[in-house]
Amino acid sequence: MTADKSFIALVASILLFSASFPTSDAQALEQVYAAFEKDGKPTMMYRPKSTPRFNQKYDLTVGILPVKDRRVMNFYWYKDDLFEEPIPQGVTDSLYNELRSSRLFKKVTRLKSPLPPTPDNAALQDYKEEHNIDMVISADLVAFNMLREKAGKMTRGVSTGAIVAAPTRVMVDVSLFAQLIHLESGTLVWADSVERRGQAFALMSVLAPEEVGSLTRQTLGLVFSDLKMLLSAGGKIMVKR
Amino acid sequence: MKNIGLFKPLIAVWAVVTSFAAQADISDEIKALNVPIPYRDATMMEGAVALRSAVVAVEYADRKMQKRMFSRRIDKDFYPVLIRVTNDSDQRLLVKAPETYLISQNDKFEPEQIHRVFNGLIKTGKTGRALGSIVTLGISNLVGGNNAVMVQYDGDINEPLVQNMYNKSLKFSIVESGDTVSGFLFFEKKAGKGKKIELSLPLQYLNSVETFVVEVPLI
Repeated sequence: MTADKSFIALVASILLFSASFPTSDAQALEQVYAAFEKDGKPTMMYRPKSTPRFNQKYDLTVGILPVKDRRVMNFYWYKDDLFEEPIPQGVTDSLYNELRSSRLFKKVTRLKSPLPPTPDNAALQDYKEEHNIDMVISADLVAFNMLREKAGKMTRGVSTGAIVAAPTRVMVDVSLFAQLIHLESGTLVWADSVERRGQAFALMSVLAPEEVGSLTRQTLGLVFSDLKMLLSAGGKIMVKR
Repeated sequence: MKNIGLFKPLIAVWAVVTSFAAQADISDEIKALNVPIPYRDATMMEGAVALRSAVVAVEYADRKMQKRMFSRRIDKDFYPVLIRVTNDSDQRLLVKAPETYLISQNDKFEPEQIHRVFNGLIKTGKTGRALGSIVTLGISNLVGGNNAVMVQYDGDINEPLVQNMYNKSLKFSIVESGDTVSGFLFFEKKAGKGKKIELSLPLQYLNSVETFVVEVPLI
């Protein structure tokens, strides 16, 4: 074999060897998606906590409108279907479960039709009679996103010289704006936003789908816990005349 | 001499392909991530419009601002605008940013979701970047380097860009009394072609269910 041929063989073998290393972010991203396809998508649904217990604040029936998606980007890069449920649907279901179990209202029902586009008193009164409810909760999903960042730098093992990867911080941001409207009076009884960031560390850059699911459910639970607390402590008090 | 002849095209290929891998240098993007949007009250801005004690100012984010905020140009494919909203009332104000639109040349443009914007900004294709990394790693090995340089960039090349755009975009948000919120929105590039461009931003005070719209001309 000539020197040229052996050089080409050397370069080719190095390139082939190099190809076995994980390389670009695009590939890492594909690995994340592939894991969700292979292991199955996690669910967003969870059992609401029974504590703390709230006193009934409104002796009225409230309807939960479908949550509107107001996010600035998908859950993770260009993918949004990494859960069993479509995200706005999952958040609506969780909101319903949480408010039902909180006992803050006399009765909680689900609504399918949106509020009238011009919510004047007459339109709200018609909506109330049509759905047989006293109040509505209208919620907007502001954030429901996964972000990642390197936590520290790559290091080299002291004795072996082996490369030790830096852990990756995986963050799940959930933010929700909600408003409670009394239909008969057209009054905005309460409005606020709640947001939480859940985080976990992944040694291999990527969390397993079920770990992402668990982190998401935990973060959602905290968001709704804050929401119930604000609803219980704040908001106008309804007085019967 | 034969060996030198072989090295020339190899070096040329290396120079071209590693230019993709050079994008792996994330330090500029990490720097940009730490640069906040300069604080300005909307009332201080030229062309600001006040309606019901809400003041809205809009400006085109020029190349200098794009480089400073995002460490790269965005105007090749998009029309970036910086919006500031100051709440001069004694009520909390809701900024319904995702319902905003630009009116330009009688057309209505809705803001792009940011995952569409950064997809366009990451110029290197999957194959190009993977090939760039592979060849760089190969050459690095050849000249006695080590794998750590390439391996440390794995899987996180564009995460700072994503976070930066996410943090600096204008979201559906509440502005407390006396406070100012600011953020970027990204529109289709052709939205910037019109002579007269106007931004329409829906707002709501949190003591009522009524939404009102502020229309602000872009300067």
